[in-house]
Amino acid sequence: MKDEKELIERAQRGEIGAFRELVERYQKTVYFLALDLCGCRQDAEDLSQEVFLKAYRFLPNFRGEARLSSWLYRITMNCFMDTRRKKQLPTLSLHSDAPGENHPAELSLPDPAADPSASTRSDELQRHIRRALDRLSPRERSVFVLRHYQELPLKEIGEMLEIAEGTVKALLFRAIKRLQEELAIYRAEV
Amino acid sequence: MTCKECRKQFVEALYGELNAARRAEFEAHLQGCAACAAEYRRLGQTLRIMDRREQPRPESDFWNAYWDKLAAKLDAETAPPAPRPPQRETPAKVLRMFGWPRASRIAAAAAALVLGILIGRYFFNTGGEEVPPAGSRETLLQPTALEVRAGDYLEKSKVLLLGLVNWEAEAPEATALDFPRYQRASRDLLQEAGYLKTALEDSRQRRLRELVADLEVVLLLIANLEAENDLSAIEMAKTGVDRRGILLKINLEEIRRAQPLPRPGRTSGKPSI
Ligand SMILES: [Zn+2]
Repeated sequence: MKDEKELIERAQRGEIGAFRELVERYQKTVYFLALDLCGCRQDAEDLSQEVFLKAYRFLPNFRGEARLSSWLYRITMNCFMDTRRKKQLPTLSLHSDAPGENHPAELSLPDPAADPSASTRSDELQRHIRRALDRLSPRERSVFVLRHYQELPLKEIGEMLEIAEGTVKALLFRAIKRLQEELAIYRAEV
Repeated sequence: MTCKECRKQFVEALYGELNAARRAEFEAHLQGCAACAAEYRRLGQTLRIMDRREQPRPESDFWNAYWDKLAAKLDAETAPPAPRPPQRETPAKVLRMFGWPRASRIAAAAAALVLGILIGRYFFNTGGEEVPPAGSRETLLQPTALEVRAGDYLEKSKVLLLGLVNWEAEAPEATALDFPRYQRASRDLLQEAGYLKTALEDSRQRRLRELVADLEVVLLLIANLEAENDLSAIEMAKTGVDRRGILLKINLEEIRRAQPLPRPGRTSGKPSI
C-alpha cells in the first residue's frame, strides 16, 4: 500500500492517477456513509460522487492535520446537508398525519396475527427501519448515523459537524426517542 | 444522582462513553429507580432493532464502474477554457456572488489588498518616480525573459485578486459581473502557472517559483468556485484563501528582505508592509 501522504501530495499537484488511487481507497467508506444518510442507492451514489468532485476541487486546501477520512466525512456531511436544504424534502411525521389518513400500502404496519413468513417479516422490518430513519430531521439522522453505524465518538461528531458536544447528545437522544416511537411494535422481539 | 441527571447520561451510557466512576453512579441509580431503568431498557431495545438494519451491498460491477463515472464528471468540470485572453476588468461583486458572509469578504479583500500591494511594490516598477538602479546592480537585477513572463503572470493575478477588493465600492446598478469570464481568466492563469513552475528551475528563482505556486492555489480556488450558493464549497474556499493569503504575505516578506531594492527618493520615511 502506497504512502497516503505521498499520494495526497501528488494529487494536490494535479496528478489524476494519484487522485484515482485515493478515490478507490475511500469510495466504499464514502458510499456507505452516504447510503446511511440518504437511505437509497441512487441518492447515495450521487452524493458520494459529489463528495469526490468537491474533494478534487478542494484538495489543495487539505492540510494533512486531519486524517483524509475525517476530511471526506466532513465533506459528505456538508454535501448531505446542502442537498437536504436544496430539496427541502418534506419529512413525514406520525404526529402531523391527519386523523384517519391511511399510510401508503408499503408502510402499513405488520399484523402480528397474520404470522407471515420470516423473509416477509424481515422485509417489513427493513422498510420500517428505513421509514423511521427518513422521519428524523437531517441533523438528527446525521448524528445518529455517525454514532450508531459509523461508530464515531460523540466528541468527534461535534467537531465534524461544528456543534457542541451537548448539542450532539441532545440530537442523538431525540433521534433515538423518535426511532423508539416509530419502532415500538418490534421491541418485544429484542 | 437525580432522575434528571441520570437521563442526561442515557446517550453516553448506551454507547459506552461513560467513564468507570460515572458508569458506577449511573448503574447505582438504575438499581434503585424502576422508571429510569425501564426507560433505559427501552432505548437499548430500540438500538438493537436499528442493529438489524441491512444495507444493500453493490455488486463488483458497481465499484468497477465507479471511477469511470466520476472521471466523466471531472472531465465535464475541468474542460479546457475557451481560448480567450484574461480580462483586466476587476469583477467587484465576485465575493458577494460567492455568498460569503460580510466579515469574511472583508478579511479576504484585505488579504488580497496586501497581496496586491506587495506584488506591485516588489515586482513591478510602475511608479513614475522610479529610477533604475545604477551600476553593477542594474546588471544583477536585469530580468530574464522568463522572469518577465513570470512578472506578467503575477501582474495579471494581482489584477484578478484586486477585483475582490473593490466589491463594495461598486454601485449596485453597475454591470453585473461576468462570472464565467472571470473563472476562465483564472484558468488561463493556472495554465501559465503550470508552465512557470517547471520553467523556473534555477535555484535563485526558488522564491519566485514558490510564489507562483502559492498564487496558483488561490487561482485554483477562484477557478473552481461555483457561482451558485454552494455553502460547503464556500466554507472550504474561504479557509483556503485566508490561509494562503497569509502564506503569500509571508512569502513576499521574505522576498522583500532578501532583495531590498533600494530606490532613490523612497528610501526613508515610508512604512514598509
Ligand atoms: Zn430515576
